[in-house]
Amino acid sequence: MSRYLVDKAGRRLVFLAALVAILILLLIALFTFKEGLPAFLKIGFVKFIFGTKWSVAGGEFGILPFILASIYVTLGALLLSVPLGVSCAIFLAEVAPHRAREIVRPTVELLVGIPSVVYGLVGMLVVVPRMGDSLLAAIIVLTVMVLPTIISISEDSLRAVPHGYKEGALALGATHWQAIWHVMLPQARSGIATAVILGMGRAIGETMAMIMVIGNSIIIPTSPLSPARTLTGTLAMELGYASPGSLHWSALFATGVVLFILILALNSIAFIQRREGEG
Amino acid sequence: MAKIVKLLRLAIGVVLCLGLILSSGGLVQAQGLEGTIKLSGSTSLQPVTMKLAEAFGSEHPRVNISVSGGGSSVGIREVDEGMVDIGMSSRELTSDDPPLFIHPICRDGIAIIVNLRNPVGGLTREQVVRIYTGEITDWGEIGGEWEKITVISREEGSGTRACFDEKVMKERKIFPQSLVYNSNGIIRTKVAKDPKAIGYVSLGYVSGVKPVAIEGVEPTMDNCKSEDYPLVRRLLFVTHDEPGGVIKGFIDFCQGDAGQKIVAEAGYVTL
Repeated sequence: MSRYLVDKAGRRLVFLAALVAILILLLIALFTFKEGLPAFLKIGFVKFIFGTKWSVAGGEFGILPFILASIYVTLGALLLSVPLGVSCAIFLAEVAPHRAREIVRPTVELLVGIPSVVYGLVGMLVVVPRMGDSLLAAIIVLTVMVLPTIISISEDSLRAVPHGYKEGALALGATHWQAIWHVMLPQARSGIATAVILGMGRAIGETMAMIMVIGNSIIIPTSPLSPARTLTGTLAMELGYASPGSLHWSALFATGVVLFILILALNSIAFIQRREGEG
Repeated sequence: MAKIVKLLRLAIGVVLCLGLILSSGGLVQAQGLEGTIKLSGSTSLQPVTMKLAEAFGSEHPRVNISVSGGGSSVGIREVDEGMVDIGMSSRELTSDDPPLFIHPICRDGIAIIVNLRNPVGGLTREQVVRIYTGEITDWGEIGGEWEKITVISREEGSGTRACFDEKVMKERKIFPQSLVYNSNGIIRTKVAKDPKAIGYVSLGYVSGVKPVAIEGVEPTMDNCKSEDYPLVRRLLFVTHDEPGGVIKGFIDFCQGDAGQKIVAEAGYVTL
């Protein structure tokens, strides 16, 4: 009887914990939407999203340049880090001798723990002098920051593929490479998708390191070497100066709402993709 | 019965003592000031204010001063809302700001800086304006090597930017292609690393970079003091009411001889 009670209490407790997590997310969303709403009403949704000018003194708030910059750096970083990360994961899971793996894996995991200011500083002193303050500099810094997430989750999912699958492929005469490409990778697809989603989340939310290398100019970037400003960068740079209740304040929260929706949309796309991949 | 009375007396005594301890803030006593002062605001003023607070605190050991940053606008807002006693501002108040009492503490010069390897040593105000509006895009046009200028500015809302806008740009607008960075330190590092860069920082941050003369006047301490150098701003304390008691004591100390000596030692321009 008492065992049953403990079991029941335990179940309630973890359910409550899950509920708290959802509740916090809801409250944050609610607060952000509430503060951002006046900007949408006063400026107009379309003018706010597709406006190309942002000037606090001029009272103009259009965030298209920030949206584009955030999307460009995120996609750019994924374009570089996914092939690199998955290749590295294949190496670690399938090719690397035990010794090499013991060195590489902890090194990769260590990279996650480095604060983003440090990445920003290295980017500022090493990357920027070679190409200027630009989207490309931001993409390179972001690629390095996202890599560890993609490598370690992809490697785990490759390792989770049952041994029999690979052995079966090899027994049928496939080469090692063919077994990896045609059997292992498709099987690990949903895990790799998770890695990409998590990497994307980190990329689009990254603020400090981006501010330090991207130039923060309020223009629509026209080439990879053009400076730009991200959504998160705008929030971090300007929120301290906005007085609560002003249009500027509200516009910044509305920017947060757009960021929120953007992340939600990107995650949903990835989620649906994954579902289809499994089904 | 007697026991109960005794206990009651003890309890009352304890409560009274606690009350005395808790309510003693803000009292002015014959021997010296005591109480708590909270400040927040401009990060340009924060370091020197902390030094001033330390010196004031050693003279008046029963005064407790806490200094936090946040930026000029935050300081102005928090003093208006009564969250702090004194706000620190590196910009003058505008008509958008709440009406507050202003107490200048010191002055600060803003230096226009270039890379140490840049041969350009002086610019006219008009040239600086035309660089920041994007009309002059190459160092070759103003006596340097033929290389594209990297123009670096501060973010809107910054006190340093406000002063630059007011004293240099006047009615003109900084062009949107200019890079924007949000601290003196980052701009100094950027200019120190990039031979083609130009930026502007608080005078205290000029090291490892070359300050240029404006209209032939170098941004030295003396030229800032006489205001021959045009880019000089006041750094202010702001209060909600006419200050009294311990707050007045602290402001008087900062503006007085002892305070101004600390200001000069910290690399700022005295009043």
